[in-house]
Amino acid sequence: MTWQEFPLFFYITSTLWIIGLLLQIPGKRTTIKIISEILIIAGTLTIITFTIFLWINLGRPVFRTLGETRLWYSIFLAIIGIVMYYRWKMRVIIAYCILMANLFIFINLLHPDVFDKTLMPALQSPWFIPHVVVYIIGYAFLAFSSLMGIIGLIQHINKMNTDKTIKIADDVVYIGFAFLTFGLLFGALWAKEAWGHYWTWDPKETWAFITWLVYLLYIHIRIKHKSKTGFSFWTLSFVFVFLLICWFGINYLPSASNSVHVY
Amino acid sequence: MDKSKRTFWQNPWNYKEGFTIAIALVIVGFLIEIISGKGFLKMPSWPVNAIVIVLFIAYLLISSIIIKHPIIKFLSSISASISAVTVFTILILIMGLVPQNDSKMPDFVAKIGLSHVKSSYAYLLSSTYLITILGYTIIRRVKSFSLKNLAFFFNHAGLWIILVTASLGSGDLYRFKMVVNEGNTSMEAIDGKNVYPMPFGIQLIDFSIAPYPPNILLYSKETKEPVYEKTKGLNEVIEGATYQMKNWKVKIDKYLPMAKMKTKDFNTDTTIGAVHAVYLTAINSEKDTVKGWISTGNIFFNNAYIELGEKYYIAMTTPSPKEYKSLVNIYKMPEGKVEQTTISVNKPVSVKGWTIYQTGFDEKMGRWSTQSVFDVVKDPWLPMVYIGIFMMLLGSLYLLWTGKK
Repeated sequence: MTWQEFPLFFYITSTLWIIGLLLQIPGKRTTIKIISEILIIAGTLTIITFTIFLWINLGRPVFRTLGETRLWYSIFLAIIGIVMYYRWKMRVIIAYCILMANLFIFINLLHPDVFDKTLMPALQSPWFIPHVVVYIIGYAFLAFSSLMGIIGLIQHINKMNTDKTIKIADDVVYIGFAFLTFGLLFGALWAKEAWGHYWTWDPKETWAFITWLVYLLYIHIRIKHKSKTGFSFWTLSFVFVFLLICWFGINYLPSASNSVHVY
Repeated sequence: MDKSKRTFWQNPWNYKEGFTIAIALVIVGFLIEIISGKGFLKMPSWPVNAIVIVLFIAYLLISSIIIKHPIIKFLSSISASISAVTVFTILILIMGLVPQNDSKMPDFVAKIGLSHVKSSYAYLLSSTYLITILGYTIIRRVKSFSLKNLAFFFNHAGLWIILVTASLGSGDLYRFKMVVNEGNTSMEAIDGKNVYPMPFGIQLIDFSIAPYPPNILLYSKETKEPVYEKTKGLNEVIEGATYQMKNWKVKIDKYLPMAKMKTKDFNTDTTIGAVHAVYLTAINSEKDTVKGWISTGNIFFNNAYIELGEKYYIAMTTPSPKEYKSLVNIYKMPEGKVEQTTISVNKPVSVKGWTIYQTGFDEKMGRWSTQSVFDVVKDPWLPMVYIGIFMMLLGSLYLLWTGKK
């Protein structure tokens, strides 16, 4: 299995996902809902299968290139969407997550990775997978929290009840933030093993720290100002921008041209 | 108390005062920077840095018990922390957006320290304010034992320990380079122009690189750029493999990982300067056939390539290293003990309080480098930083488990 087979898997996964989502629209009818859920799960398993076989074929952990991390982001977002959908019973959750997951593998279709088996010596470490995986999971949860931020804003502006939304948002931010903390600390522990210092203010490290700080601020704002939900939703929607800059944006920043993390 | 009637600086303090203090500290930092003409140079070393930490902790503890002024309550409040963290975050944001190189930025930016934020007075004052607030917060909160308070302590005190020991400990942190050539022994480390004697010597017995196999690619005669076929990816050189490259079917008949040219052919040769060589057969859709040798290049020999029809050259890419390592003898001074060991990337070796990292080699010589570059680091405060990291990892596990409860 190589990236050559990816388009086929993309089309199968996308078809299953989109039809599955469309079947969510009718609403309450149980049989249609069950078929929809089966299709969405099947689509998720399809892309997971591709990734597993790609890993076996590449002979190295599939976490190095941007395209590879997009695969995992897509998988984790889909899994989180499915789990959260069962937990909170909100259709918009699974719709957003599956559509985002689909978007990421669509980007891979447009910008195919070059099949490259090499892994530079600095990445050959037991820290490589844990560091990247916890960040991908953390990013997926925080992306989900941004969805809650936007939904909450819409509800708040329309003077609807936002209790459920803010509760989900808070729980998910705590989970995402915990993973963000793991990622930052694993990175520091790895850096010490690889090049002798745990923190060198590399642009990616700096932006990872900024992302960590802004979600830290959200958490504390929520503790102190529990009733100011409107302000909280604005904050939650806004801080996601920093996460995106940290993930993609630094490749374009003039301050980041010397980063070891630009790929 | 009627909040709307509270005047500025009237107790209890809130965001107005919090932001004012935080921003004022940054401005004072800018002023100190302008007056002194340079950034904050270096943290004090042992024992001064340890004394500072102990005194600081003592001050925090004693002042929170003795001083009954509302300012202490303010400094352990969430509004103080939110305002301080916000201003601190903005400083770090500036670090993330402004290239951190004084020579590349306009004068006024460098003068106030924004192109060297991490060594600026603004950063020093802002972070000191932050850990003061963090310290008071921890003391105030941890009055009774419960799992929730324990997790709070791990997260907040863990962060405090990391920030304080990493910054003050940097006064005792040394990072130098040691460059050793095969056969030679070096007992000195370098840092730019300065030379430092080390309590150990490194003798480089052998430096070796295991390269990944090269890839075989078409290059356009017109643009001289490689022609990729994206989803098919890079074609790894494997003996017997056949690749379809545009309208050419290319078969790798022979692959010699170490070879040299003799008369018209490449033969296996493992002496210095050897290259990767491939004998290939290429047939296109019109049944035109091309056969010949191509090779990678290095500092000794140019790479060899073949024309394929009117449009293309076929050649190999420079192989990237899979692994590189140094077989060394380490001499411990003054005991004179010797230990033979291997130092490779991600596998450093420690001796006499120093840790030696494999970080580079002579890249011009590439595979044939006879020189190894090491980073040598002394970081006595590392165990303290690790304690802080470990505490935060545990604290985060708690957050993961309970969410916001």
